[in-house]
Amino acid sequence: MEYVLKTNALCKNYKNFKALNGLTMNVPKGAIYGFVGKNGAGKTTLIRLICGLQKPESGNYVLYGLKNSEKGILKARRRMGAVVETPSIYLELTAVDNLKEQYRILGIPSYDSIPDLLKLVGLENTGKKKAKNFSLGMKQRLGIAVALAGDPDFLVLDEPVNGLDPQGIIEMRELILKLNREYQITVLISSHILDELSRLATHYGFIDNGRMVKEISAEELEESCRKCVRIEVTNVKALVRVLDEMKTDYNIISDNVADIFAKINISKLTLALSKENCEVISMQERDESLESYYVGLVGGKDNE
Amino acid sequence: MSKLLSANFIRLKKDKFFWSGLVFMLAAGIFFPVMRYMDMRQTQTINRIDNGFFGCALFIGIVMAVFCSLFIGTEYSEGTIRNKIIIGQKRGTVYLSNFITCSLVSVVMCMAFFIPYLCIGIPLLGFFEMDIKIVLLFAVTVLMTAIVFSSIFTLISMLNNNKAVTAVICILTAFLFLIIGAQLHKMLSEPETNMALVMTDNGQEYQELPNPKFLDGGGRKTVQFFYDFLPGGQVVQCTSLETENLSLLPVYSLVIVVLTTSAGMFFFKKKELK
Repeated sequence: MEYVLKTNALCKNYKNFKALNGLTMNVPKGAIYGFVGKNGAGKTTLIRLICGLQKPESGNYVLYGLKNSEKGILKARRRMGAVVETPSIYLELTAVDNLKEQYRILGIPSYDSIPDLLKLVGLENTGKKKAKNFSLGMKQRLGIAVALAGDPDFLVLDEPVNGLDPQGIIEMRELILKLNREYQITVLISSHILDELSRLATHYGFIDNGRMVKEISAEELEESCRKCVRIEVTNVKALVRVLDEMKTDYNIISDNVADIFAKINISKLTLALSKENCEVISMQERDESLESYYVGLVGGKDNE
Repeated sequence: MSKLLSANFIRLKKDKFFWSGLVFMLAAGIFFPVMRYMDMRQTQTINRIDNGFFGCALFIGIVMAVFCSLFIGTEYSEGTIRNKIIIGQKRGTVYLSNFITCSLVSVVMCMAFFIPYLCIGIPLLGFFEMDIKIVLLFAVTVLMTAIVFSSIFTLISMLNNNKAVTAVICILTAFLFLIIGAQLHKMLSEPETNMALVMTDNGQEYQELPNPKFLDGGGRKTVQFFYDFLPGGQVVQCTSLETENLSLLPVYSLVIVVLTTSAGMFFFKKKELK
């Protein structure tokens, strides 16, 4: 698999606080990589490092095959665009002027593509309105337009839906999907709005206390989050015998708990278990979400 | 570098602080000679264009403190400095482009004072009494002092994330330099002796007594060096047209520019941006 970004044991300290503690991650080309973690987990720190805003204490990262210590990293960065925390736009300028400014910085001589770029992010009708008078969603989209000005292959978005209203969230999602599917841009999104991320991401990286807890593809995650019935019985061996006879897919969780991955006939199951002298204590349908998967990984409240 | 400069100039065109500063300097360039002319008419004293022509040195520091802190501070407060770094611009280039922009603005600001002053001042007050070479040397000194202020305020602004704090530090620094310049001027202007009324056998008599505040020897040389070296001292010398080492002043300015810019670039390369 080809990777746009690979990090290797990245460490970053802020005084005595370890923001990144040996973080290793791999962002495949063409992916929408959801970078999940609670506040202070190290998401923004990692983004700052790969954007060149800060330097790691140890470890390294490889962007488009170039190590951060190599001179060519500056050229590799020209292939990326980023919106870090807040959109980086001049509030006193209009959307067009903001883009003209970025075009100049990039050395793009012609402004011909600005209307298309504004249309792509849905800001084609902003006219002479200054960015300071934009809604938060519009500012976010302008920030993305600025990041897209250099026609990047890799887009880094730090909490892009934070503070947006439902309509803004939908528009942002559609924009990110469009950029990924139609323009083949690899996207790295950090977020803690898991429900939203689950609608977008093709790959996930779960980070906690500056470490990567788990990297998983959306398919793998779906597999582990698939619908099941969690059953608690007095004799799990009897349950295994019955389920094997019924040719049902299952997973033993503990001495008396198992997950059954099929639509089962409860009457038949309880009858069969009763014949094996096994009682059913409880039974509940489970539909594990990204959120519960994440909580399971990082320990939820206990870990705070 | 040219890309960043070009981007800065585009922003400059829309920058209200730049235009406000320019209007202020233009207004001062018109107001000063007119006031001198009116004063000359009222008092019937000859008021040459020389006096006050380099008066812009007095407020160029404050104007540049406001401009640099707000122009560069905006890049931090609105996060746009990140756009330059993320797309692979070198930090040294980012720093230099901002310094060059601020320096050019300081020169434009001085010109905005000089040009109307000359256009109005020459017809009203007559031509320079000083040798034209001295006038040009003073003009170069004022422009270099303006660039020194730009380099110092660029340093402060590029190393500080907070726009408001930057503005306060820059403005206070500008005033501090002026106060130091005035103080050094005062120290050097102390007379060697003072006339004092003393009691003698013949009654009261005026006698010349040594002034304890008069500086001589190494002390005077040190104070004179700082008076020449620091931009505050140069401002006082340019506005008063009293200077001992005029040709040295632009050289000192160049030294400060090189020192502050090198230090600024060094620390900015190490700075952690958010």
